[in-house]
Amino acid sequence: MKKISRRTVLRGIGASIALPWLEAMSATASMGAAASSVTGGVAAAPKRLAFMYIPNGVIGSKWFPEKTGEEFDLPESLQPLADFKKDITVVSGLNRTYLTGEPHSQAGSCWLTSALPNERADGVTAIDTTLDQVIAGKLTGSTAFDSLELSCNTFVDNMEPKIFDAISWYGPGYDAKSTNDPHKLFKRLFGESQPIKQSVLDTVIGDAKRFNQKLGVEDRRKLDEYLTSVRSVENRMHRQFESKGRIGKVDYKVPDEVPVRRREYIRLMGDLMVLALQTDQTRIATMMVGPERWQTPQLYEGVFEKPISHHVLTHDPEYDDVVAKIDQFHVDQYAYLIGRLKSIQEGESSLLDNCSFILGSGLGNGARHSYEQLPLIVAGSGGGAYETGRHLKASKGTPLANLWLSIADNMGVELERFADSTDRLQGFM
Amino acid sequence: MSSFSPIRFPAPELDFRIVILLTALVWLAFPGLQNDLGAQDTASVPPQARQLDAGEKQPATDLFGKRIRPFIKNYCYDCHDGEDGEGGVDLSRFSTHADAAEDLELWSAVLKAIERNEMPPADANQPQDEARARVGGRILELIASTKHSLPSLGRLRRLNRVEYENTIRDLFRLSRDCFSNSSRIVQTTDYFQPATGRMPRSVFAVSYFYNAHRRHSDLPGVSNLPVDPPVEHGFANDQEALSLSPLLLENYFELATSVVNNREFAQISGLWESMFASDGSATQSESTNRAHRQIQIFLPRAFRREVSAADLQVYLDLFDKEFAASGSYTEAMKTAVSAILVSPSFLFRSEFMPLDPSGISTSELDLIRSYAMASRLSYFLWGSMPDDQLFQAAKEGRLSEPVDLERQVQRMIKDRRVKSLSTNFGMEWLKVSKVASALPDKSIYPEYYENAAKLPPPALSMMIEQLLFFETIMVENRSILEFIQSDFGYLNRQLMDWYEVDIKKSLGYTPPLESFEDFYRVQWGNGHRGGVISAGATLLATSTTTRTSPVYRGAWVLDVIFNSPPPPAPANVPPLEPENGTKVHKELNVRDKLEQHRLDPACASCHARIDPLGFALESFDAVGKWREKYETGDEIDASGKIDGTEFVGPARFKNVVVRENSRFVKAFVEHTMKYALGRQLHYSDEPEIRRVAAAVVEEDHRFLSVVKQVVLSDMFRRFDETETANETRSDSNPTR
Repeated sequence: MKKISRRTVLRGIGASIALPWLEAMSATASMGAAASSVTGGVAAAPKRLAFMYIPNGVIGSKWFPEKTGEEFDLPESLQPLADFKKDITVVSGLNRTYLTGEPHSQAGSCWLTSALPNERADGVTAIDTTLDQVIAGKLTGSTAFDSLELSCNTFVDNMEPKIFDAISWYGPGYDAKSTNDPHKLFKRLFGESQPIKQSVLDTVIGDAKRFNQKLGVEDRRKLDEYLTSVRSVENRMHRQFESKGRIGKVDYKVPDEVPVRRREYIRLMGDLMVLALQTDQTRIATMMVGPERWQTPQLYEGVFEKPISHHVLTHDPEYDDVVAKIDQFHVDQYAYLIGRLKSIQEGESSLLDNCSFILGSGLGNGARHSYEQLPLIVAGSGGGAYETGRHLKASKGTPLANLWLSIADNMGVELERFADSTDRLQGFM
Repeated sequence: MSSFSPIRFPAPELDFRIVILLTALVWLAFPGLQNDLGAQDTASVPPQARQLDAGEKQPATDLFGKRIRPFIKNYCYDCHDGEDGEGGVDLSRFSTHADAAEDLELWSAVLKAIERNEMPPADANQPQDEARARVGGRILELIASTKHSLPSLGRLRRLNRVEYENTIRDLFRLSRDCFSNSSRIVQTTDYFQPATGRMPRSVFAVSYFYNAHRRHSDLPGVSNLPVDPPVEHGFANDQEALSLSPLLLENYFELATSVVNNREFAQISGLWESMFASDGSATQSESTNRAHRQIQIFLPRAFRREVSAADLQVYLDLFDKEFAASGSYTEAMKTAVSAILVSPSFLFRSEFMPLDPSGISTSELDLIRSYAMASRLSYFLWGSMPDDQLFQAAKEGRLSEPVDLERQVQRMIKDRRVKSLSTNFGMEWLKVSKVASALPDKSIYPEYYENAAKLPPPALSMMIEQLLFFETIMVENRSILEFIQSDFGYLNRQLMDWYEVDIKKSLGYTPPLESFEDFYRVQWGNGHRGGVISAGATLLATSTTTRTSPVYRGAWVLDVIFNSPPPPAPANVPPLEPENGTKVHKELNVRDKLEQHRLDPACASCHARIDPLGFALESFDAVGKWREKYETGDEIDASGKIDGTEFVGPARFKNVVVRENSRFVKAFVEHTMKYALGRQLHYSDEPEIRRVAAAVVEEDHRFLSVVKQVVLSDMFRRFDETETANETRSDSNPTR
């Protein structure tokens, strides 16, 4: 069997990471050798699922390839993916149905929703348990974190309401709060956190259970949030204690100053996401580049000299070219992370091979607030399940949920339907 | 009470032309009525409703069928008729009072649309103002007289970030704030002395966003909680927004441990000696007794209610177990306390009555209600837990009568903790934090970056300007109409230059540019400035990096000043392509561009409401400076329109708002009510909101009146969702 280097160098921010090869991984890798004839040469390392969300839609004319199949072209916005053409599937023609209300608010929050589009699950919108959480719920307990939610929204003083700022939801109205602080995230993943005394956990769980008896239905839901959270913290503590020896010391330097430049910041958060997947701290991750409808001017270095507001520009037809450049900028960060995933070997395959790493937006065209022709790219073959290196054009009117159903299948979660899915996505798997 | 005698509408089947004729005749007969339709008139309805028997389902006459439907039929059926009614609204399906009572939410929306002159649309047949007001009053009566189910909101609410921080501060009797939280805007608080009833002439205000190294209030090693998400048209204490996640709970665990273990905690906590410090000479049983006594005192304060023996035992057991294991009194106490700090009874506000009151004595129920009121008061006014006096009042049952509540409000508003009302309610109401991330384009607004080495960006000074202004209205108990138009403001030298204030004239001398942390109370030279609408923080936050946005500004005014935010732009609407070709379009100023856009009828219906309010502020550029011309060289056209009243320029705009102040007063009451209750308003709140607004007008629009009347309102005093508005009203004090 091929000997794998223990040292992986992180590009981009000049930091290096020394990771002892995961024992668990090498064990599955050798089992994978036997299984490889069945799975097409890919070792049976755990499958991972990650989403990268870009707000405000894209300029479609510079995004969607003209040619379908393996000979597809890469229009301007997808140019950064040139090196990874063979590792991706560009999917076009997917649609969603919009429920009345603020169009941006449903773009991200209902992107992965399991609710039907016309179902006001929380009384207002179609927000219900999202795909990542449905899957995380099934896989629960296998890793320290059932799922990880990241955001590249550095601004604490100009925020959007949570419905604009969360793509991952445990249930109606109940968002999975994301982390935007790289220091806290790193500490959470690999730091020496002070263990919580079991006696304290037992006490509060007992206290909460007695408290619960006094509550009505609505309030029990709130208290369920509490109890679920306590259990999740407990699980994480035990899991991380167990995995300490396996992972060892992760030698990654988070810069002292959180970067202002978007490129550096997105890559930094992305690196941490990759690290978490690599060390099997989690198998499900979502990362939001920024909230929907975000007004805050940002510095997209290399695109524009000055800080600009993505959302404001999407509504000004004079700036279509600049908006397309921002799209390309986001694709460039996506490509960087694909490269990171690909550089990490797992047995005879790469981490990327074992991933479904999905880039997309909940709006097609931001200027129109259109829910049609959604941009979507899947990187990785989901553990050898998808044929990559092509542009798959879905037939007219195909719901996005069809893809989500296929993704759930591949993650080993069998569902009859997901949201408004009509079928598995034809020709994808 | 209105002066005109009740007018009976003709039977519904009467031809609508006759109705209009009759209406017109009435109009001619009572020309004075036109201007006599303010808040007092409409607010006169609830007292009538109050006389109704709580159990009565509908009045003897069919109020709806006879007195509302004819109007609706005449003016609304044209579009809102049948299942394909405009905007999905079908009003023809209601014929009786009982029908209408089925969907009061819709009727409260109809009420607002009629009152705000939004409906019928401008190109349709218009009712006379008087008929409008009359039918409005009747719809309100319909709402007030119907026994409705109250919103089934959960009653358990997580402490938000500020509430948590303040509660920790007060629970441990810390001598200073221990979390550095930028939502407080300024680090210095010496100037804030509400007991004096005056704000000083000059204020030393150090920005939280500037000179981070000079921060002095956080405990080292204690991390902040993540910021709670803002709430669209609400406040960050809205129970719907405050969910709990594993991530957040980890934070709570971490905080609970790090606060009590912090090396400075012993020095700044007033509880250290009595509760935590170990007494080396004590025997084991003496220590245990002391611990049990201390936890018994501490727990009701932490949970903000009386605790049962079973509640208490859990934590006594934990102490005993830890003490037995470690032998350290202090360590065991810290562990017990850190567990209390992550208990749901600490993290959640639970101001409600037991679900099943059977088997609970009346006096016990009164006590539960009393403690709930103590918390509600303290979190509203102080953003924190009740103090000893409130707890004492709760224990003695002195929080139920209006006179008790009024006394507490008078006391609490003089306490320095009331600063939370300005930083949390006030600054969130004005959306001040939005300006912190403003980044005007350097090539267009180079002056914004002048002296950047010496001075903070103007946005930070503008935030302080808004804070000090709000605090002055509050501390000096001024009229809330001054929020709209006022002759003073607090400015530092930087802002005096920015706003072109005659410094010599207003101060007598010119402070140096570098003393940007000194803010002075100055008189405005003219009506352009003064008040929150024309303040830099508002103007800058509602602009893009390159230009003003009358749309954002108009939407801000509708939302903040009138509490009637415009509906969101719909999906699948193509952007408006410039008609004159891109090049010409580029040369148009923003006003002309928008005028052109409004030619599209699909956009016009909302933008006709939004844009004219923003146009009135066009005299201020995107960084909040006064201007006479656009960059294109065109003269500024600052003419606008509000509810049909036309005006030119910001000063007149504000005059109109002040003159027609009932709309603003009601809106301000609504905002305050949302914050006080921590929830969105419900249609069933409408009659009581109007009563409160009318009382505020009666009391000369004083800030304290708003606070007091909100506290005395039915909603604030109601703790059980099974109690309907009418029931609570019937047992409330008639002297009010």
